[in-house]
Amino acid sequence: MVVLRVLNHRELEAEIDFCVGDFIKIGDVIGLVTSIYQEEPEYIRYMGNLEKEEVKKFLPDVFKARRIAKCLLLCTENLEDVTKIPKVGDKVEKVEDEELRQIHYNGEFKIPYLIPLLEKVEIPIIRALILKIMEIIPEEKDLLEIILAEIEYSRMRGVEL
Amino acid sequence: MRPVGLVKAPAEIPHEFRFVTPDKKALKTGEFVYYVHNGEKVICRITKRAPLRLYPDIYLSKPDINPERIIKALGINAGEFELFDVKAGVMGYFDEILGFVNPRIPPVPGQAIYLAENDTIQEVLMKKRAGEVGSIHVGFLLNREEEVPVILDTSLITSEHMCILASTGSGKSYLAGVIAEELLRPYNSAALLVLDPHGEYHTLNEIEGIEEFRIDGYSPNVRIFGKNDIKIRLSELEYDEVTGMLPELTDRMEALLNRAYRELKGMKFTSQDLMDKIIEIAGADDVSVRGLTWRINRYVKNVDIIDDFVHNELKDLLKPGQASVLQLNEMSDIEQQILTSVLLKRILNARINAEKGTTGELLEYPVFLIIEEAHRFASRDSRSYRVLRTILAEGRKFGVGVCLISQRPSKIDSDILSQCMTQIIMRIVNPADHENIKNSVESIGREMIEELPGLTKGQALVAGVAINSPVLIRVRKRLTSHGGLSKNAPQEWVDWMEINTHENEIPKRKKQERLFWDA
Amino acid sequence: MKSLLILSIRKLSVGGKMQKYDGRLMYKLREFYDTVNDYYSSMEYQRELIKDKISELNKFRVEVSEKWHLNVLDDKRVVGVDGSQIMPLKEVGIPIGGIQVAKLVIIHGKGDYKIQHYSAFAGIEENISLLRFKMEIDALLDEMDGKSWLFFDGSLSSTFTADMSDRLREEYAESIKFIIKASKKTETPLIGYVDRSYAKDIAKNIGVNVYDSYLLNQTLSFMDYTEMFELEREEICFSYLKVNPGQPVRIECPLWMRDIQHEAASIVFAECLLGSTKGYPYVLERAHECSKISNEEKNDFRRLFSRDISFKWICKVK
Repeated sequence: MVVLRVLNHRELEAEIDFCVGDFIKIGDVIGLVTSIYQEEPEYIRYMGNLEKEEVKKFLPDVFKARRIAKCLLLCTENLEDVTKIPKVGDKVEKVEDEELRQIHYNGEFKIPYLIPLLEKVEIPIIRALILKIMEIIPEEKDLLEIILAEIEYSRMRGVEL
Repeated sequence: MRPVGLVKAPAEIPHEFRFVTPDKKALKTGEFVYYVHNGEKVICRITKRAPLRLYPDIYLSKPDINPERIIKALGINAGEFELFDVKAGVMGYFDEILGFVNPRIPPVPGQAIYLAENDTIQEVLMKKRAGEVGSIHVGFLLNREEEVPVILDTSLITSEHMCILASTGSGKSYLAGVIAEELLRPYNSAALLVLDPHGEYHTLNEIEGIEEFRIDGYSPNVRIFGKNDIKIRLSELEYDEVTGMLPELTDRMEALLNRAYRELKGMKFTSQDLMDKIIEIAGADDVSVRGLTWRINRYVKNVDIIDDFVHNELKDLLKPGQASVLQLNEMSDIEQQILTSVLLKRILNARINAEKGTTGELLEYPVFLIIEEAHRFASRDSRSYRVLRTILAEGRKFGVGVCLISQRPSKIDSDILSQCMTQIIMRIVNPADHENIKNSVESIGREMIEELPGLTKGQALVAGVAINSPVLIRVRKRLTSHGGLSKNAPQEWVDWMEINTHENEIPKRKKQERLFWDA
Repeated sequence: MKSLLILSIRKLSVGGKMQKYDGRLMYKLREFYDTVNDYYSSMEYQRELIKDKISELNKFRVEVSEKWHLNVLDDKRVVGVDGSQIMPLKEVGIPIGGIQVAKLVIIHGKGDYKIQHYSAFAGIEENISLLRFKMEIDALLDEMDGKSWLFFDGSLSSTFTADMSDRLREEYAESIKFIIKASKKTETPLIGYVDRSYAKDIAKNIGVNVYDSYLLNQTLSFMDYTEMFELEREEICFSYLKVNPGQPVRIECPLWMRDIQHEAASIVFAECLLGSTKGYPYVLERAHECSKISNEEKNDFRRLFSRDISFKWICKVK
């Protein structure tokens, strides 16, 4: 699973089979899967009057449409700003819970990328992210609840009901 | 001197502005700061202080979680949360002659604000320095940890009067004790009289044993006058004082009394003499005569302080370098009222005579009177009201100064209270009294009044002519001990029980014996 | 292909010399148009002349039903190779180019497939195209299993090397020979697919100077195909198939496949029907996709190796 495209200094696309909200790691850069799209399966071009099953059997190499995940680069392993941008072809790995915990909770709890993230990403993703962190760092559950409440409240204030 | 803050903007009220500071401890409300304008230090006083950035409420929702941790976790620079928005009122730069001159230009945003140095404060706020002739060292600036002495100007206090207003237990008698001590110091050597209804000031006599009061041969006296030491001779009383003492006189009684008095005038008569004279005028069976003599017996003869013969000389009571404490606690209310009224009149007259050169009793030096429970004597319906009012209004001319001490300032007549040009206010609990103070005492601003509920024992607000600007002080320690300690009832009950349980065993038998005999 | 084109233009010119004009090429559109028309007219004319002879040629037709191609290809193992390259950019100072070859193996009907890539770098002294050719051949050589149908995008005859240097020609010839031999030995069918053929083998036989595909375009209808003709000297045989509405395509196979020419034709037609354009074999189309080097990749490649920029290039680019 590799980086396919680097969109800009903060976003890239990778061919990975993860879900939105998963944490990924490219080298020492940590990122977050913010959206997933499926490439238009090429077999549409070949389909003609063939059925899906037939395409699968006779044109097996086009059948698999790639799922491309768009990822936002958050920070380095040390929670610092990203300076070196990953390149096309770089290997993409999933960040396991244990590592995720270690990154955020090093004696004290820090999540410095959260505020810039708020501007780029929808609330449900933020919520899922915070809930996930709460899961892996239960000691800071209270603190995170406050942060989550504040985020939701301030977004709510911004919405004209 | 490093700046403690930077000016932000003018505040809502003219002559007020806001500045921002990271300081967490030194800049308290009431504290003095300054900025420099045209080379002058413009003194300002802090009126209010609030954090610059408040945490969103939700950050405070869990008591276990310190909001600072949240800020740090999010990587937010906590800087702004550690700043404070302080409001200050401009007093002005100090001019020797004009006092505080307001520059009438607010400070410029970004201008530096400095904490006023101790020297600056002393120079600017106080008319005297410690130990100077005519200085009273009452305490230290409340806001400063180091001791910045607060000095009052004695001459202004004694000529323009002062009042100490405070609830019970706030330390007003202690403060009065401090002032009394200072007045007896060599640099004041006052002629002081203390009217002490509760018997709290007898401890002042410890002064006679304390080194600090003696210098170059000067050594103050303290004389305590108890009930039995104070006597007024009947014949020294003014006619209307006597009538004042006798209640419900009919016209005829008054006429009789008047005539008797006139005939006895100039002589040293006793109460018996008076009664005899009345009988002589109208006959023993006359109803009015009987009523009058009864009253005289009841209200004059049986009043201890009115004596037929003994009379205290004013000169004995009031002398520079001496404090006389009249303990009124054993006297009845009437006696206290009579005594006060008579005494004050005598003192005033003596001073008038001395100043004007007229005949009569003389006191050749100014005097200062400390009157505790002043509301008893200064309310409209008290006997001493009129003389007090005169003293307060005109005492300056004749060198009679008073210090009124009271925990019920609302009971003091506002004409009188407003003449006390120096006010020391300690903790006042009653809101009616707050209002009263605000209305009748000049020169105390709104913000200072709001400080009052926050004062604790031993802290006071000093305002008025004796000091250039109102300040909050903590009262200094007395050199003599405090006589006004309250009774500790539970302790005394316990002590009594301990003593008396032993004795209970014996009386049982005694009781039995008596019974036996009675039978 | 390049050499063939030059050949034709020479034939066009009067007396073997080039037609030259004064002035810009674009201002000569009229003349160009006329030249092209003349050209086609001449071909037309010649075709007309031998119309009968052409129609005498054997041709066959494939009967197709709706999913005919699926039936044909079911369980067939088909291999396609294609390659792409990054030419050495002398202009930016890189005398090194890159080659990428992709091999796609599909077992139709079973949903099985495999993609393999091969890459190489070549210096400017070497012939990138030759190297690529060799790599493609090599890739196919690995699949000589006696049953897979191997597709190659290009010609297996040496006519395209006519104008090359001797050395080059020999190299190409050797590769081709090698793979033909391997195919024969293992009886693995190999098809060289030429979709734009300018060969004149049939024409020459008949005695005209026109492209075979042009000639046959008239006579072949959709799904028709000619018999296999032999090119003895090359050990290959060829045939023309009308797989799309355009010109017929030419397939070239080792001689031994003559006996299975009908099966071969069916396979080719079926692969073409699977393709997205329906006129080009699916497996080659996909192999081509796999072998493509994207523009980003090319740029990265150049950026990585770029050292000195040629000033000549800069002013040309400007």
